[in-house]
Amino acid sequence: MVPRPQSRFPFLAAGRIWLAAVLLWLCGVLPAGALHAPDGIPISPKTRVGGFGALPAGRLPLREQFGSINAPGKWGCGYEIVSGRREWKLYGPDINGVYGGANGTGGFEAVSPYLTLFEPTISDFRGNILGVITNGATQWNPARPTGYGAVPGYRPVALGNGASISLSSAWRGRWADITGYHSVGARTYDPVSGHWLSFDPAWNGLDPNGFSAFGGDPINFFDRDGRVSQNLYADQATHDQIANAFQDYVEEESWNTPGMNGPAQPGSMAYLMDYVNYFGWPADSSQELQYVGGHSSIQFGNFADNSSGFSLLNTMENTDARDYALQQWNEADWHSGWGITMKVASGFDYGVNTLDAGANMIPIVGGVKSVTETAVKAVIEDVSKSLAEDATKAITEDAAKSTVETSATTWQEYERAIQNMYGGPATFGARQYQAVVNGELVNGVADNVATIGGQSVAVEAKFVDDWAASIRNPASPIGNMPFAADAQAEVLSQAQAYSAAFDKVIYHSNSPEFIQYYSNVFKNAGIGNFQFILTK
Amino acid sequence: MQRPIPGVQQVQGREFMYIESAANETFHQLANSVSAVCPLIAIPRSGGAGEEKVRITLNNGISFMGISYKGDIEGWRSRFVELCKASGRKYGFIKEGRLCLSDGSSPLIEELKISFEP
Repeated sequence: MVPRPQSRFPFLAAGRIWLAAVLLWLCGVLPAGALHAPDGIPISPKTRVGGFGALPAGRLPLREQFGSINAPGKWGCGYEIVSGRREWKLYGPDINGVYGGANGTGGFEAVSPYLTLFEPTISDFRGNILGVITNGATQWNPARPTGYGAVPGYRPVALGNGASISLSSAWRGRWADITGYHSVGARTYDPVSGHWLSFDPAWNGLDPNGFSAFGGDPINFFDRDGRVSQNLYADQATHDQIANAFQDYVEEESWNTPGMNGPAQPGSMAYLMDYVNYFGWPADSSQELQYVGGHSSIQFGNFADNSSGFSLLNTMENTDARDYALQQWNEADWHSGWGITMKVASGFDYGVNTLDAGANMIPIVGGVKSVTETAVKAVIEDVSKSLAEDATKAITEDAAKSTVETSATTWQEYERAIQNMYGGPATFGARQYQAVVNGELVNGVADNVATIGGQSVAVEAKFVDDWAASIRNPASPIGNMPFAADAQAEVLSQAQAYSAAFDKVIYHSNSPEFIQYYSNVFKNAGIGNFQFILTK
Repeated sequence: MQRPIPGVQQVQGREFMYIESAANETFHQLANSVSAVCPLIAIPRSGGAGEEKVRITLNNGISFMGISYKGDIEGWRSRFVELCKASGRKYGFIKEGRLCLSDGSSPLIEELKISFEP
């Protein structure tokens, strides 16, 4: 049987399709065009995941439709592909209080792993993602960001290794890719060395060698787009405003919403500080502690208790958007768990809710799967070459020693015969396993499982009708076809999963050529706990 | 001959755990629910997990699925423990002839119903 990538969210339900349509429509309002931060600095397409788009002529920005907005009217959304699934990111104002004003730094407000669930992030003053609220509970990010990156041993998991966007975006709200680097606008940043990988195309006096980062002071300076280190935190008035807003919020608002877990309780500032102290968070200063959780605060409430979002929806001037939004707001599925509105920490900026998502969609294509397949194919190609050079490589010793007869003529008969050699097939459930292969979780079902000498053993039957014509044989006439290459890669990826999940893997095959070939493939891939048995 | 109860004897590199589970729940249903219930829990760095073909039933009828994992043992353990915490399931480990459960109880194994699956 073939291990299959785990499906985490096996829906959207048909009844929710309209919801996707709404978001897509909203996003379509703000097409990807020439992107500029409000100060006129073009934003690199590479980092437009927040989406800060120019508006079509005659169209009111969604933010402005809500009124009471202190910043240029842009509210962003974007999505990324995580384990083959689209996850949405919602952006509010950046750390300088301006939408897109710091190229997304500090603006990452929430994740929507699927369109009926929104998970607000908890970020600190510098835009580091400390946690996320999901299913009413706070999940703290195990990564511990510092000014330059993260504490060794507590670096964010790379996006694409199965991590969530929130987990991998611990540092400044920017995810690390599989290289461990961060793409920050014009340049790629190495959080380990604390340097850029390339010369500053604009050059700035704080980093005169062109490679150093943040003017040597990542606490007070940040380079939002790879071209200039600036003090984005310099405005003490902004500091005070944010801190005061959060304090007020903690004191006045309903952090103790029934059902809300985690630090969202009265006195949560102390909770957060305790957390930081306990876990040795690399707090930059006492002031940093003060702002933990203070950048943005999230107002949760059940819909019946929270009318601010509803009222603001009614103020929308764009009637089409309003109708959509109200319909969505009133949809039972939508707010059955939580009505969500976001209160931006500037203290007077209520009413941004998940509906006014609208900006550019930046799909991140590729990902682990394609990388994995490429790697697997490369291994097979290498093995093919080595076999051509050394055709004398023999069948494994184990196989040679233990030929068994089954008289099976089909793969079904063969599989059953092999199962019976181990006392009959275990139940379907007992044959299920889960393993980590190349950083990704895969599910699989073994042909049989057994406990032999205290070891957990997977048993796999490989019946080959005609090796010369088999798609698993790279030298067969169809062996280099794409589907055949996939089948060959699948044999290896299955072995990797077995090897990871079980103490030992026993392969039975009626084909000595199959055994000869794949025993070498497995060995070359570093799999050591397998045994082939030639079983005719 | 009946095999030993998984977890009674230590196996190097593998840990055995018992998770409260409905009788008809499969391992994949259990394991996949981790991502749904605790989407932020990290994926273990290596190894794998599977069912141990055994169930332990308490005197009050609560049934536990026996599972084991290898590789990044701490990673797998946290994954299943977080699932249990988030979904209100009990879980436990066998120690010194007792099933030490997350609710603080630790009944003797010999007093519990052990069902081996084929």
